[in-house]
Order: sequence, then structure tokens, then C-alpha cells
Amino acid sequence: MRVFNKMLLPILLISMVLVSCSESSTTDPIETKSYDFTLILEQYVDHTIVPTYTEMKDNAKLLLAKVEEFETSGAQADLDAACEYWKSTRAPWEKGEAFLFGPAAYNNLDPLLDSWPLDKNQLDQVLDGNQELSADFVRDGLGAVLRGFHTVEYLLFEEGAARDATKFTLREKQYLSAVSEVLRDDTLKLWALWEGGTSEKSLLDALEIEVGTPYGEEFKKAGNIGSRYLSQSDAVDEILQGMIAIGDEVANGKIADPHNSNNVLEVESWFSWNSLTDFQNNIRSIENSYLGGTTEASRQLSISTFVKEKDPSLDTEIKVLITDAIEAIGAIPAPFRNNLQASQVQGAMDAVNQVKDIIETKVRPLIVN
Amino acid sequence: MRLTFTLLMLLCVFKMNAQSTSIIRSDVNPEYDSYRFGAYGELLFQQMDYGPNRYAHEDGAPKDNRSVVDLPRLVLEFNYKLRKDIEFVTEIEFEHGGTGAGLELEYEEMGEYEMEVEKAGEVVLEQFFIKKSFSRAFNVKIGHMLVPIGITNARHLPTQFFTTVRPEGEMSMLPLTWHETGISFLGDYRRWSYELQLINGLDANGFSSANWIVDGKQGIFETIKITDPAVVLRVENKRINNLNLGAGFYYGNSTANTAKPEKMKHITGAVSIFNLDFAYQNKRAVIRGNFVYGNISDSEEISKINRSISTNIQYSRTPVAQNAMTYAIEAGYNVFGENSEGEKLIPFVRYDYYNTMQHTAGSVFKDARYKREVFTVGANYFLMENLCLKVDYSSRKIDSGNLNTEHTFGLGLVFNHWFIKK
Repeated sequence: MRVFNKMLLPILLISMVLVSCSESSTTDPIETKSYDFTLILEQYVDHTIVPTYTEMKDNAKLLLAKVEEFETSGAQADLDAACEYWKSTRAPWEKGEAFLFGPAAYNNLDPLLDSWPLDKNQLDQVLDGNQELSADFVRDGLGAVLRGFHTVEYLLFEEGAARDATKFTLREKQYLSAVSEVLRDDTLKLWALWEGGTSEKSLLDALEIEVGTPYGEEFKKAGNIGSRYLSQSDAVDEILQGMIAIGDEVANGKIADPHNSNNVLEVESWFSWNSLTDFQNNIRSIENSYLGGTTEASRQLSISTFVKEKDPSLDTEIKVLITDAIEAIGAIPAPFRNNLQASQVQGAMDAVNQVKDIIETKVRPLIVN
Repeated sequence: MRLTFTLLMLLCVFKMNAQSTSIIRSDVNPEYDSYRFGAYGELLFQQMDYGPNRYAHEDGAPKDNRSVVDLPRLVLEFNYKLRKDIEFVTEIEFEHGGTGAGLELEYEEMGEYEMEVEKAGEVVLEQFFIKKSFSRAFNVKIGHMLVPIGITNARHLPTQFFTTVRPEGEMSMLPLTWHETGISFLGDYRRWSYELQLINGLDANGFSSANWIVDGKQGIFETIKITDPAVVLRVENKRINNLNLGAGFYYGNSTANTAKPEKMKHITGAVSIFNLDFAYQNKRAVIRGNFVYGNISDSEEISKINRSISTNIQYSRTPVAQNAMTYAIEAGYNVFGENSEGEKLIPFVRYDYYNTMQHTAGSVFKDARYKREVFTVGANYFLMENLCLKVDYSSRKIDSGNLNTEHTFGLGLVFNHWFIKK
């Protein structure tokens, strides 16, 4: 009895102190429907993702070449042309924001390419410093905030137009070249990781970018050995979730945040006044994912085909909502930064949310239980 | 407040078993016979005159006016002597009031199951070890234990520093408190104390610009890797009356403990940290000082690799500096002396310097904004020996004042007590 008493208190205390944490797996088993998605997945990789990233890295190369010309010439015409190339590189990036899973995530390429807002204080420190402003320095010496699209944008643009070429300092030009080179490398890497990159092998080797099995191959092989997607519906669900995520970000982040805070600094791509184009392209990334191709001509089998088989009116409704959302964003007077409270803003948010919602509530249940 | 009230009641009900607040280490050979149960905790109110994001603006954090209340931690301690010479020690910490998560069936989302975070916070097992005592001079600990690097890791009780929050210099560069798993040899010999530990090392993927090695403390994954172990040595001396001198040293590689060590095979990421500290306390005056300097080998290569870690893991991926450094000194004076209840009032001043990018290697850019200085004035009012009201006002200077200076007013209520001891 004495022993019992002696032990009782500690036991009570231990039970008071110990907090049990239980963990349970919450992943739902995704039921593989009998539907064969093979051709849809192939179409998606070959005609949506790969062409988008091919266009991006090709344009990034043009941008770099033009920026380097500008570094030597200092000519306004070169700078103006570089601005156009920035926009033509930016467009496929935004049209790819529905598929930021896989290589973009695993290699942290989304933050490296598209960190926002820009860290102006650190950029000033770098420009005022004395480091050699090479691509190696930008790549290895700095964090994600001082590279990518928005750093290039900040150096190229002012108030929605090309800057005054005469106002560039030497170090600004050097930094612009360096950061454009890193942008080219990152876009090349993202393309190669999906596509395989054989046509750019020498450049990839020079940059020590290892590709391994292209992610596109793995994605197409979903449900088979050698793919991290256990079933085809896992892969299709990944596509849908990507579409939902960017819809949510455009409606409830990119447009809603600056609208609610009325703070222009929160508007993405405002140096170039490219924000609304960015947002429209984001919806096009949903469209291209849904319709399986970046151009009318290339579109064949797609998630749309599958939905149409199950429910033709749903398919029509989705297509209409996507078109409406792109138009609703276009209806906001440009530039967005000067029209944060325009009456059309709410309509655009609603339209995009409708796209997001219908995919979430009507399409996903057809694929996953 | 109810929690405070309950704790106050507990303090009144139980006979005060004052824990030694002496500056001499009391945990090497603790004084109790069979078991003891105690707790320490902090309640915090802060008002800041600056916004939370100092990086999105060129001049630093914009002017703002915001206040927070927090329960930074409540730690329950239970020690039990399984035998006269074998001790079981455990400490469980509830940070920010604990945590909650639940599985929910969402009918609004087509009957999907969702894992929901219901309450932010953490429950952390800070210490859990078995200690075998061979003599006063030689003890062995095995288990999860505190790593005594820096004065606050060696003395982390809230009554052992003056400020309302834990010293920010150490907090920015070292895990605080820092606890790892391994084996330790410790003891007291004459006026010396020592502790020698062999523990699991850090994970190089977690190193960052703003917090140096802090997030290199493993824990993101369920398994803790000890492929790269670390050694820790701390020595204390109290030869001079009222003065405690301490020195600590940490050494361990960090790359083999990463999630994908094959990416870092060619480097070791050796982390070495050196610290010196002192605490002087007589009936009236308290002066404490601390210096910590750390070095990481291969920091440039680590920065380069960390940059491309999957976005799906919560690392910060920012470049890491080769060296980080902090030093601080605080002095307080007990104005009315001490009555029998332990009631006393100690106004204090404190100065902290810290820079998590003290020196960078190779092309790693040294961002000047990580150099900070904090001046603090305040007072500690001890209602009784182990219950203290704290008030302070601090001014944080960033990059030698090139960015907006940040001011914080803090109020804290802290306690530290063994409720039951036998």
C-alpha cells in the first residue's frame, strides 16, 4: 500500500503532464476510374506544358541578347526592344501558373523566377556595393528576391514604359545583364526538366543543369511503374488542383489584396503596368490546361473531352465561365495600379472565383471521390 | 488570466519551495529526495510602433501601431528519482498556448475529409532523459536534453534574464531553447562545473540569412538524423564570490543530416560556435554578459544548394552567412533590498548587438539589415522570489540606423516554481 501511495502521485503527475498526440493518415484513397486518361495526359504535357515553356525559354534568350546589346550600346531602341521581350517572356510564364507543381515546386523555381514584392532596399545595397555584378553572383550570392522577372522588370520599366536609357548607371546595366542571364537559365531549366532538354544539351551542360528522367515522361506514365503518380486520376487531379490554385490566387490574392488594402505596392507587375495582362494570362493557363493545348489548332483530347462525355452542359458552362473571366479582367481600366477601386474589380474577382468554384465543385468530384 | 489565477492559487497553496535562483548551476546535482513537480511560464503583452514587414519597404518597417498578447510558453517540469542515484527528468513546453488539429468531414465540400489546424502553437518535449549519478563530479545523462550554448540556453528560466522576451540576439542565431538527443557527462568539482555532450547535429538545409542556424535544428521530419553528430562542452567556474563564469563550445557537421544528403556529399557544413558569459550577483546588483560567435564551413555552397530545395518543404532557402555574432550586457540594481518574502524591485538597462550576417563567404551577399542593436530599459518587480512582473521599452536600430528604428513596449508576468518537492 505504501508503495502504491508513493507511486500514485508521480503517476497522476505524469498523466497530467504527458499529452498524447495521435496522428493518422488522412489521405483518401483515390479511386481509379475505369476511364483511360493516357491520351489526355500526353496531350496535356506535349501541347500545353511543353509549348508554354519552350516559348518562355526562347523569348528569355532573345531578352538576354537584347539586354546585352543594350549594355554595350546604351541605345534607347535596344532598351525599348528589351521591354517587349520581357513582356513576351512574361506571358508564357503567367500562362504556366496553373502548372507550378512538379519541377517548378521541387526545384523552388517559382520563387526564384517570380518573387514579389521586389526587395528594393537590398537591390540598392547591391547596386551601391562593389561586387562584380556577374550572373554567378546573382545566382549564388543573392536570395530569390533579387532575381527573376520582377527584378528585370524594375530595371527596365518605369511608369509602364521603358526607362530613359540615359539614366542607367553602369552597374544597373551590368546587373540587368546578369539578372537576365539567370532568368534565361531558370526558364531553360524549367523547360528542360519537363521536356528533357536534348535540343539544348550543350547549354545545359555548360550550366551544369542535370535533367534526369523528364517530368513530362513520368506524368504521361501516371499509374505505371516509374511514375510518382500512383494512378491516372492522381495526375488529372494534380492538373485540376493547379487550375484551382491559380484561380484562387488571381481572384483572392492578386486582385483582392491590393483592392482591399488600396496599396499599389501590392500590385504585381506594376512597374511595367502589365498586371491585367498577367492576370488574363493566368486564366488562359486554366483554359489551356482544360482544353489541352496552347492554340486552337493544337487542341484535341483534353479534360474538356472527358467532362463533355460525362456532362455536356457542364463542359459548355466551364468554357463560357473561362471566357467571361478573361473578359471581366480585361474590363478593369488599365493600369490596375491606378484603378484599384474601379467598379469592374469586384466583377472580375467574382468571375474568376466562379471558374475556380466550378472546377472545384463540379469537375473534381468526377475524378476523385 | 484564468491560467495565471490558477497558478497564483497554486503558488499560495503549496508551501514555497523556493528554487535556488542562485547563479550557480543547480541542475547538475539537484536537491530533492524523491520527486518534484514544477513549472515556469510567461505571459506577454507588447506594443510596437512599426509594421511587421521590414523587407518590403526601402526604409524598413513602416510606422504602425499594433499590440499583441501572447503566452510564449508554459513549461511543466517533472523529475523523479527512480533510485537514489537514478533520476528521470522531463519537461514539456506549451508554446503560444499549445496546438490543435482535427480531422473534419466537410459536407460543404462534397463530403471530403480535411485535416484542419484549429489552433496554432506548439507542444514540445524540451527534455526527457535518465540521469545516473556516480558521484557529484560524474553523472551521465541519456536522452533529450538542453544544449548549453549561450547564457540563455544555459539559464533559460524567465527569472534569469530581465527582458520581457528572451534575449533577441541569441534568439536570432541559436535555437532557443536548444534541445537535442544524445548522451552527456556532467558534474561539479570544487568550484567548477562541466558538461560534455555528444548529440545529434544540425540540418544544413534549414540555415538562413535572418536566423543563421536556428531552423537547422531538426524536426521538420519525424526522424532526427544523427549521421552527423555534434559535440558540446560547457565549463563554469565560480571561484570568485558572486561571480559565475561560463564558456561553451559546439562543433558538428551538418550536411549528412539533410533530407537528401547525396546532394551535399562534397561538403561538411561544419558548424562551430564559441561562447563566453558571466553573471555577477550580490545583494543589490546583478550584471550579466554574453558573447556568442559562430562559424559555418562551406556556407557559400550550402547557400547555393539550399536555393533549389523543393518549395514543398518549409525551409527559408535564403543565403547563409559564414559567421554570425551576438553580444549583450545587462545590469540591474535592487533598489529597496530584499525582504523576507523575496519582494524586490530591480530597474535595469540592457544592450544587445547581433548580426546573423556578420561575415559572408565568397559571393554570398552580406545584407546590412541583419546588423541590429537593441537598447532596452525596464524594471523587474518580484512579488516573491519566483513571481515577477516585467516592464521594458526597447529600441531596435537596424543597419546602424539606416532603416527605421523600431520601438517596442513590453509587459510580462513570469513565474518559475517547484510546486511539490519531496
